Amino acid sequence: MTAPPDIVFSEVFRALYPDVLRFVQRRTDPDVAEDLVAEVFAIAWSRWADVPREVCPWLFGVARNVVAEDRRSHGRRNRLALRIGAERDLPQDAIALATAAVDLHVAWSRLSEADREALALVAWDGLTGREAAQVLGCTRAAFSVRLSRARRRLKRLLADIEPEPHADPAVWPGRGANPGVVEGTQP
Amino acid sequence: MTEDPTLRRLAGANPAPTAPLSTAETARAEAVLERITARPETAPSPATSRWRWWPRAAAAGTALAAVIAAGVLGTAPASAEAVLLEAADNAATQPVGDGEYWYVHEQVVDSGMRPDEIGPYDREVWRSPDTFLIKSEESAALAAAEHGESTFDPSLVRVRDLSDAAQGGGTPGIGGNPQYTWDELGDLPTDPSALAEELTLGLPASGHSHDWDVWSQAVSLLQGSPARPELRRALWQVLAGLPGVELVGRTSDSAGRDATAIRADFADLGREELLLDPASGTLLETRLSDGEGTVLLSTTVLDQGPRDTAPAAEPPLCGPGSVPAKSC
Repeated sequence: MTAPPDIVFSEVFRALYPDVLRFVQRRTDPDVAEDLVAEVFAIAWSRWADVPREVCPWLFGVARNVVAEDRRSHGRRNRLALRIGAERDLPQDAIALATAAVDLHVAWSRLSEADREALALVAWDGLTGREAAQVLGCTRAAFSVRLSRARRRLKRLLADIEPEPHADPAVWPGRGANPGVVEGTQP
Repeated sequence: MTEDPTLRRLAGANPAPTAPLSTAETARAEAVLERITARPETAPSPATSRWRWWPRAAAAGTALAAVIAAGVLGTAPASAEAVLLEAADNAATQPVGDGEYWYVHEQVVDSGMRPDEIGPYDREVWRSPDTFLIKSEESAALAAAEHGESTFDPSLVRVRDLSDAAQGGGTPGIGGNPQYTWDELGDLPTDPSALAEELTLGLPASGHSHDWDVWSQAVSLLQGSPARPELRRALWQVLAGLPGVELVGRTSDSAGRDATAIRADFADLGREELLLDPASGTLLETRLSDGEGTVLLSTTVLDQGPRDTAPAAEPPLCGPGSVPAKSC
């Protein structure tokens, strides 16, 4: 009944390598990402007999540790940086688009690393709450609270930065050409 | 990806969207695979030994003590500590069934992941020392919520086999953080002081308070583990010994069962409320809320106990040849 371990590992490797690579690329310098992913799968291979069947969150947890270790060793910054200018569901007006992208970037930069990690696991890595809790090594309940607060803080930061949707960005205090000229819609 | 405008907006700024590998990336990945598997795999760790079921009846002395305690405290407990100690004594007297598997059936409402709550959805687990089968509606409910729908497609719900027996490892652990093997659970002390200490031994830093770690682990073991009656008593006693636990009063849980509610506040996490039946020492429901009183996660234990049978695992949704661990 037991499949040859190398075949099972190969299947999992091929199925999950892209996900792990993107996970790492979101968190570190692009030029070292593939080396770190190789290290992740080398660890998985060395522990293959004990790797849990639900291997995806486990691999992400290992990847997170490998990235953190690399960051400590080489003094790299934690990235988890936004891709500016690639947002969807925003006004097509170029100025508004650019403004909204910058606003999100500013709000994101003001979040703590823990908040960014919680949000990224869900919004970028596409994990469920249970999987994200496994990656972080915390309980499902603790992650639920952590995500809720991070989401709320991001929303508040955005609200602090951005004008109301129907306000004219050009007259938004601190950002427009006529600071202080508002139309009664400012928060 | 999500109905939350903030998260959807964030998702749109994903610095490395999930995408198939390029031809060059694929070639490099295959080279990595070849290099890794050229080395010998390490030997598997020893399989865990068979779980020892607890005795079918609680010790007579313990039962007598529980009856006396229930008589004293059973009328109108005036504090959370009294309720928890009553639950402790009564938990120790509960009859113990027999069966190959430990079955847990929970219903979950998750408001922490999205602004629109997910669920209620059901989750059933069948455990034995060598087996872990789960039938969870979570992914189907999540997919429905992402499309703004309140009902989900039942064909998306499968019985999944997450046992590691075929690979020589253990089944998914028991408890929250850390997780125990069946043998380790059986070896946990039943003296509350020793247990409280044991629950945090080797505990990875959660980043929260020590009291939360103890509380969280004790609640997790009461909620969904084959803890023997003596251990359940000790777990309730551990909770009774934690500072700041308050009695809320009589209420009913989401399944309409009579319950007594207690709660504890954790500065950096929020509040957790436990709905329990002190007369049987059964934990019925947990409700985790944030500091502003919004319930984020509610878990109702509908059924828990030994079973003789478990369902057969169903093929993954991706079809033959897919990797069970890979969501698809």
